[in-house]
Amino acid sequence: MIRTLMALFLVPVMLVGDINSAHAELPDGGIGEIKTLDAGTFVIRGDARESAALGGIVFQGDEFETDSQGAVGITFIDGSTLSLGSDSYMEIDAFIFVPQDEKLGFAVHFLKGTAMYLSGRIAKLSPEDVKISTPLATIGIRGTRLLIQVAE
Amino acid sequence: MEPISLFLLWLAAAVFIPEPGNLVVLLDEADGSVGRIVVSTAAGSQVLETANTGVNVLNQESPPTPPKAISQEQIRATFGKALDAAPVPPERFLLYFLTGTSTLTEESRAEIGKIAASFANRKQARATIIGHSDTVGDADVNFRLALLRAEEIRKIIIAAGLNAERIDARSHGEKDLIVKTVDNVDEPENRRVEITIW
Repeated sequence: MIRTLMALFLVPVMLVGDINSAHAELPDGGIGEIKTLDAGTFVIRGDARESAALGGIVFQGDEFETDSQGAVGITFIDGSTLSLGSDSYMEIDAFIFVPQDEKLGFAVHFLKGTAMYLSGRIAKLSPEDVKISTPLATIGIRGTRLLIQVAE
Repeated sequence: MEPISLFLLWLAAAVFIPEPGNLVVLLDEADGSVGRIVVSTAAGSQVLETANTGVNVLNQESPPTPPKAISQEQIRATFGKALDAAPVPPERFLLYFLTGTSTLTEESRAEIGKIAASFANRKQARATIIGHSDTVGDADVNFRLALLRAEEIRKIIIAAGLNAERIDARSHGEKDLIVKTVDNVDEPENRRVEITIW
């Protein structure tokens, strides 16, 4: 037992890791990956606006815009997925997934167009920390898949 | 105008003319389960808990409309492109090992084909592999054993065709038990690797 306790002190750093997440070595700060893409999709990150790329890493604060041809699907490291149809705009205002510290949050704002959202572990562990909004409404989640249209 | 006429007019508008404002539709999940959502404005809320029902939000000053059925045709017409762009949801598998080894059980060996099919089925597939042990023996030994298990699965997955750069293998040792036990308990359910394909 003493040996076991000593071993625990020796390896604490190695034992730290997120539990039950989809998290395959994304670059630092990466919260998800672009898994599907139709040309005509743009990522707005800070002052830069660039065409989105398949396999592109998604970061907190990113905004996504699609034109009349565009569409995009993202899988996040908590296992949630989100997709946009054409002529759509979305802001990922917050994404925090550190379950071992109980730090969780997901805030996304849909300004126009169509979207599908499938909830992941953040919604399972702490549904009140998932905040989905449009200019008119907020949507509270209890583990689910849903569609949103914001017509202009 | 008679109330019934109003109703018909509203129905016609809902079906044939895109309404201004927002439409929120609840769907079922891949396993058939249905969640629950609450759509709110400054003026009030509506709850959706039945698949293929939706509410309209016309403005911030009025509550969402009561839930109504949304047909598959309307869902396709409005949301087809977003639905077609939806990534395949992540899928998780549990693989089990013989005690003290990184040798898969016979049953778990048979799961490898399903895992290969799961990553073949998606674009930009990634795998996250987490090795675990039971509590027999020292924690540091178990940490290394669980890492060996994760590495063994990593090799198998690479052999099955997934790019090594898209695989993350790590160990949680004996610290993340499925079946909670005291120290030094032989528990097959805890001798596992969790692999998430996403």
